[in-house]
Amino acid sequence: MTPLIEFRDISVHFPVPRGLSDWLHRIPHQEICAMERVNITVHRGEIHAIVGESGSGKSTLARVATRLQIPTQGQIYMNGEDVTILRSRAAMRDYRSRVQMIFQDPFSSLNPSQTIFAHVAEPLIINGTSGDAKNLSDKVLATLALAGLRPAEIFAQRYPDELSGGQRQRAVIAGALVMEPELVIADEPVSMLDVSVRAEILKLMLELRAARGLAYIFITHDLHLAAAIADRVSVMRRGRVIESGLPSEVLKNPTEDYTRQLLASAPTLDEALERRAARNLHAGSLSPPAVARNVQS
Amino acid sequence: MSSMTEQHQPLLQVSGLTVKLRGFHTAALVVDDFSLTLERGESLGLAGESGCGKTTAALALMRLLSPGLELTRGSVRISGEEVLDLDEQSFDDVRWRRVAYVFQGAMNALNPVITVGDQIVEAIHRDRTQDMARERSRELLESVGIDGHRAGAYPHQFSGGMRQRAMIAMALAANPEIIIADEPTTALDVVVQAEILDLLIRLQKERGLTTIMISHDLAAIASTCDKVAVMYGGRIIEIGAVEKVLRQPCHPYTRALVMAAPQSHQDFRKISPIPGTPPRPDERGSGCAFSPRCPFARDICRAEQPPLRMVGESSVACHLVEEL
Repeated sequence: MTPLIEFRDISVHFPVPRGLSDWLHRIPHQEICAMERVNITVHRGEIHAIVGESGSGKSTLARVATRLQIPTQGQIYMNGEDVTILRSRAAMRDYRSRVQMIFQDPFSSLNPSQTIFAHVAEPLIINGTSGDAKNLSDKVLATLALAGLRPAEIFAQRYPDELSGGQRQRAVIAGALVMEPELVIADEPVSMLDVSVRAEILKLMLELRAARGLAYIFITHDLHLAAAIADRVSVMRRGRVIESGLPSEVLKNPTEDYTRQLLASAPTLDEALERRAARNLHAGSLSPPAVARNVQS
Repeated sequence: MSSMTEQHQPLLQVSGLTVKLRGFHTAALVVDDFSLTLERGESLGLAGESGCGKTTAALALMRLLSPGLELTRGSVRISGEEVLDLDEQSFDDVRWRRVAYVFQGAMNALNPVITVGDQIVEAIHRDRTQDMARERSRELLESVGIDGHRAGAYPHQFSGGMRQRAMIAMALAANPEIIIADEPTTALDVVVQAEILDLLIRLQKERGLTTIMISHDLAAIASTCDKVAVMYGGRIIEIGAVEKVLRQPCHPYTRALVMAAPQSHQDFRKISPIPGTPPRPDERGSGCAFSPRCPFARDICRAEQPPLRMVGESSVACHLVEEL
């Protein structure tokens, strides 16, 4: 089966800015490698999670996938077609309507002076697919309802500051959905939300996959979250994919030390409680630890 | 009582702290009857969803409320001394020197045009010469794991984790007994989060600090704190030892929060969100603030505010706690 999107050997290098003194001292051009020969394949209806810490290249991947960044090397194939270089505006427009993005911060990705209706309608108007006013309105309201903002007529007239964090993220999702994309890039879609709201947004994303066959590239630094929602997990570090596999495999038998470290630094609640109990047991024999350390040295 | 000449005084005793929104006719309470006691060296996590009053309660303690908020009643005693009655000048000896605050959002809390070292010097300034203060700021940076030579760097030259460390160093400047850290790990990377939590644990142990950590991340609280207070609608609805409250939560809201937190090896589809949203301060009725979202709510819950009372080892504010 042809994959929905395939990144083949993608590298992105950024030049380091050179000052006059670098030039005088003949210091050679330097480059930062944000992505290095990354291969990622996403099938229709699949959720592929990209996990890594800041600076691992996961957001550069999102920029490449949304065509905000042109890769230095490598090819992108969509439905088997090479889309690495899109010369015509029409081709770019078509690509961008098929690949949409959800950003991390629902508090800054909505225009505060625009109603939710205007936010969701904007991509349709820009792409010239809005049709007449009635058509546009129907489509926007249907999308809002699909994103769980019901009654849509009421939410459409609201401004972002009248919505809670979870509702704002739903509005952002509606803005991405209205173009009926095949692939959605979600960059940390729940990290700014309360724990109690996160599950709601994740459930919505799963529902939309079931309803529309959407595929997601789900970018997060939380390996547990990635494992819980994704069909496939890729761990990135310093611009390279260092581990990739089924979530259960990656979580239970991580092959890389780095993956283990990622898992250890974000304990789930039960793990944190267990570690705490273990530490208290130790504390009985060693306390206080500062003193114990002095004795040893 | 009078027979006890040397009565034991807890380090921090807050009782009945109540903050209201100015300009509302009805009682729009942002923090309602907030009370807790901390002994020296203890650490408390303050948990709850956004908008439940965690930050406001902590800022009220520091007398740093914004002008739209008003402290209507309550008492804060540090080693037995009431500090809310002090005039502003005397309170300066309490703020930062006895209780320090690490503000939320390390990314934006530092002044971008002043070097990190100078900002710490600014926090130390009093009673010291410039050179002593500089020396001390270097020591403070070292104590939170930043090379002292970096004191001359500007905030943008620091990573997020380093900025958070610098904020903590600043809070330590006047050797406080109590530190309040407001969401110290939010917006940081997972690996860095773990480092900051380790730093807080280390400081608690080495300096005997008493800490209050505000966080909506229950796992972070479980890793660093002894006690946990869960807030909802401006009130503490459950408070007790971390092991007790997070392992066997009594209040339906605490249960829902624990259920919403990810557990290891758990299918995500089994995580249950809490339906609805927290009430606004001016929209709370006379009953339990959680009753509109509570699956167990009965008539009494909607009519009467449940008081916080001892249930086993923790305190819980729920009418139905014995039946659940």
